[in-house]
Amino acid sequence: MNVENEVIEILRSTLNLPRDRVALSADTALLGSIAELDSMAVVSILTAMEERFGFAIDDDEVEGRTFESVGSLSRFVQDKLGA
Amino acid sequence: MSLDRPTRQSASYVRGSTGACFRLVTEPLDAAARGTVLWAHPFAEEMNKTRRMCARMARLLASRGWRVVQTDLSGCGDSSGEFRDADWQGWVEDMAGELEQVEALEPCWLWGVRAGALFASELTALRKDLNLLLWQPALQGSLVLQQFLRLHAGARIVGATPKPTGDDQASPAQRLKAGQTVEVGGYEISPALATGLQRATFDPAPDYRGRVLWLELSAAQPPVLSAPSRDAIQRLQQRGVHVVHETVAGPMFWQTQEIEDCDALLQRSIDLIAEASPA
Repeated sequence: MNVENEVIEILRSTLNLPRDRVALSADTALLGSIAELDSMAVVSILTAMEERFGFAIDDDEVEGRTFESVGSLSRFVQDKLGA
Repeated sequence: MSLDRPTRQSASYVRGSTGACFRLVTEPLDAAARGTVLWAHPFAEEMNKTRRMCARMARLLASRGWRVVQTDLSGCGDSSGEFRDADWQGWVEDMAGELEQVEALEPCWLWGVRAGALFASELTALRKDLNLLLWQPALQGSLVLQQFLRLHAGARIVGATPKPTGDDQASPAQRLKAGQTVEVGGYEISPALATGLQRATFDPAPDYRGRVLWLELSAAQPPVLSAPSRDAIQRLQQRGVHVVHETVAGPMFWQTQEIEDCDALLQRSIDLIAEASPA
């Protein structure tokens, strides 16, 4: 499983970011850069990640930094999967 | 999508569990309805997000001969009362009251959208032949509540609210447990509502004998049914319940940032309900 690609797919479907308009890679900044990412969207992404990867996320584990970039979010998932 | 036949709409207020509930009826203009479809709306903000799709569906159903009854639960939408005064049992009574209005002999569908599907447990106990049209049904109220309360954390994560200090550190879930009403995403939830929702599950009555149409949206290609739904459908089928399920590709319109449409869901709903209820 390529975590980064899966995370990108989740971001695309929850934030409605089509491939032809928005390029997403590890360096892409999220919070503060992508207008669609508000508190509702954060909730949708966390829930989608729980369903996709099969782990439970405690709200306290997540901070603004987690959503800094595609890379930071992917690392969060990788850590959860490795834990 | 076009309407087959002309329809009409009428609005009224009916007596609900704690006050007047707003009821919108959409039906064929010049023919007797072939049956009634009772709408059970989703929880809190999802009700707003799904308004457009539900309004389109209601008109389509009416144009195909159905009488569609859309009643806002107490404290929701255009009904009287405040959200903070609503509780789960009152909502069950609101829905039961609407079901009582339907003639026993006419075909009747409960159209449960997301958390609206949770009313199936009580309503199928009242009417064993109640058919279910389910849109992305929530199967456990506890998950609906958990996801909703998470909005509080979402606001903190995006920096919309400061990190709590001192007495504010208790999470919304902890404050509800302590008997306090909490405000999340502009909705005030009472401990009574939270407790009732938490206990609610999708579980049709033991001797249930209606038909079930189960529709989900999926972003995956090809679309796949979620694992919890697959298990729930299997349990129903093992009990001999007739379930038709289908997954269509489309946006998660109950939670997307912009209001989204999914014509495929409307079309498949209309087609499947027609197949299940031959004229």
